[in-house]
Amino acid sequence: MRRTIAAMAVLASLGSAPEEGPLAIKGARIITVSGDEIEAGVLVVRGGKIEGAGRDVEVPWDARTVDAAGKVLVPAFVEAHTFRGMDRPNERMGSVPFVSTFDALNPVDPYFEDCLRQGLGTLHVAPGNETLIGGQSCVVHPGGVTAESMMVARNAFLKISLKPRAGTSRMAHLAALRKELDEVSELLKGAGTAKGGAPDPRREPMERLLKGVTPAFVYCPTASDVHRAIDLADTYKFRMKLVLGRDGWRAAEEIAKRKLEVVLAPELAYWETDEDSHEEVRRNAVLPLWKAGVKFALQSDPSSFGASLLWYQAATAVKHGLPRADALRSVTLWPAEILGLGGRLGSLEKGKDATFALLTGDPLDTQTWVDQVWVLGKPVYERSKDAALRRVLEARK
Amino acid sequence: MSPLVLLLALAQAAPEEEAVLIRGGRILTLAGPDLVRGSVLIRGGKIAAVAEEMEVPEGARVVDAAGRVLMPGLVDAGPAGVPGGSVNEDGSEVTPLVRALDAVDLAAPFAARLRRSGVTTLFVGPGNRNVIGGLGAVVKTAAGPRTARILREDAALKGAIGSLPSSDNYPPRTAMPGFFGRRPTTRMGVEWEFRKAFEDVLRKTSAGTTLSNPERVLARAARGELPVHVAASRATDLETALRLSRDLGFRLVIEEGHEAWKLADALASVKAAVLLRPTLHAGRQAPEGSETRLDAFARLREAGVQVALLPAGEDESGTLLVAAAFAVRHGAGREDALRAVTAVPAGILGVGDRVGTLEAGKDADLLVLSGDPLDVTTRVERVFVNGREAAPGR
Repeated sequence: MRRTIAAMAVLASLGSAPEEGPLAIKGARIITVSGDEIEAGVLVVRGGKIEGAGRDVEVPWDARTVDAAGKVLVPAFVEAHTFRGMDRPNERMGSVPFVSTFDALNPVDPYFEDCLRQGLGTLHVAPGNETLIGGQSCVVHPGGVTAESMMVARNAFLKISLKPRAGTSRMAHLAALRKELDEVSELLKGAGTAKGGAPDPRREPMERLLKGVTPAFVYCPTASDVHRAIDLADTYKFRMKLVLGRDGWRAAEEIAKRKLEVVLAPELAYWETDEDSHEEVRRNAVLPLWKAGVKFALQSDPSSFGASLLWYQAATAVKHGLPRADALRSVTLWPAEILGLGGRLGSLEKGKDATFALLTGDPLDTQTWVDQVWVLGKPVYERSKDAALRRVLEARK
Repeated sequence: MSPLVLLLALAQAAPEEEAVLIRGGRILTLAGPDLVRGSVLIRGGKIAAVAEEMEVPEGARVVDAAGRVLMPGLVDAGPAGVPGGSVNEDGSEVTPLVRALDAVDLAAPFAARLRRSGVTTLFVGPGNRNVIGGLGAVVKTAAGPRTARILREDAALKGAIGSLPSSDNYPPRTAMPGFFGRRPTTRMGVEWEFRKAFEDVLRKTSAGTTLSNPERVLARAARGELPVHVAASRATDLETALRLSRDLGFRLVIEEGHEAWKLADALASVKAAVLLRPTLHAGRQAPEGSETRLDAFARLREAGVQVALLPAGEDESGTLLVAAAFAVRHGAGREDALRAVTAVPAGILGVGDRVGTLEAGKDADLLVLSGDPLDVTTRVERVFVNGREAAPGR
């Protein structure tokens, strides 16, 4: 109960704060992500949008100003695929295109509090990887006390998983998927009426997929599943984004050739034992995809330590050879674009949503803290008011 | 000594005697101030000298470390369990003579993987299911002859307090035999078994009765010659551990210790050490419902408790260096955090004279890093163990 109240206190401001006038954040190093970094710049917000970002941007006379000298302003991070912040993500039935994570979102889940603490401004909450056709996903902002107030895009994608369900072979799994797709294809050819006459509302999301309205997020646990996904998309003519397993890099060329956009597995490097030499071999799961020119988003992993934090994943990618600028893009602009929100989110540019985070230092440094987060121009998090954080962290430096 | 024997002896010693000079890097000795730019000379598997200026000795192999950072190899004192072996002997709840070393496969892949993350010394111990689990050893992660890899065969006796040794157990006589068909079945029972094992030995000792081999292990612990690593998360279990340590005389090392910050002063007053596993999500899903804090490390250090950090997870994002980086984020001093993954665990494991700092006379276990050890983007580029560069794995 105490936790719920604390969560509400941190999150409550999104829907309610009366931030009508313009806002100017002055003096911060602005990492625009889309262009050059701006030293000691000014960012002006009006009506929830960025009106300008640069060194010589004029501050409106009536703007409320925030002095951010010595701090760093970044677009709020974008998590491109997660099951957190909701009730159980995997329906037991194999094919449930009609369900939506909208109905399972828990706005006061402490996870959303943590998101803000780590500078996350947008998340794609999707059904899990254990169901064949898992349902529809939503893109949300953390903050707000109802699912509606968090919503950026409701039922934005349809989740499909190529991971065979427990007790099922890959062949049977794929056959079941084709059967569903065949039936809906037939339905569409018959001008939208089922055999019995009336359209089946449970299949409506599948129809939208095959009509090209809603793209799929297809989970490919192994590199070989990438080829299966491509084959399916070709046969049934649907649009898709891929969520890769850790060896997805093995399909880098195919992914690049098809210009597919992907979400990487949380493990950016991993060990394998070479079966012939018994030598320990280390695999880099991010560089081959980057070298092939694939647009990708990094993903965090709730069961890990550092890797549960998206900014940490970007720092790890740099460790494994990704240039810093692209590591930052892979947690901001690229996931925004993959989610179809590149025009609104992911970078600090004129006309985009004012959804950003003010940091005490470099975004990839473990010693950096998120001081404030704004979503659509409204302040939704302030570290100085974060009582829950103070409760577990009081040690004097 | 005949000339032939002498020749053989020399031939055997020769590769060990090769001198290596690593020069030009920033050196974090962790035994004093950092050297902004210095050299480490290795001879015979040991550190011969650490200095700012050094002549290249004749015949020495020179390793250029300009722009790099040198630090001691990391020491993982964690209850990692026994890689490649079963960790809980179910013959009894009290198995002091069981040795983790007998079950470790030193050739298993874990060594190369740990080494790549910078760990050169590792504690391997029995698991947490037994009240008294057996003897843990300290080994090195480098390939090489088994004898060169074992630092201590019996570094500590492993014990457990709290719900873990009893959870899921049922009285042995009421059901089918099996691992869980055994005592104890309550927290009280766990403490009683722990206490009885020691008190039986103490009674026999004072009566002058000859002790059995397992009993001798307990007697050594009771004399303070063998530290006892006790897994205890919650404050109530930590209090029990402190009480047992006081009553029975053993040196206490707390494993996990999620609520140790609550008893920081009491732990400091008996000079107990804590092996702390860091957490990021304080208060949530903590082991056995314990109350965790982000600044637990800093608080314990402020109270003067000896604290070694444990890896936070099995993947790359939970290594010892990451644990140290987050300890600093959560209020620890930089030097304190780095010593908590090197010199401090070495001391707790009783191998502080061999490893844990870069000082003349110690084993030449050291890391060459691409940058600052507390920066996530830093890579462990080269690893030296006993003076030899270990294959990094590809």
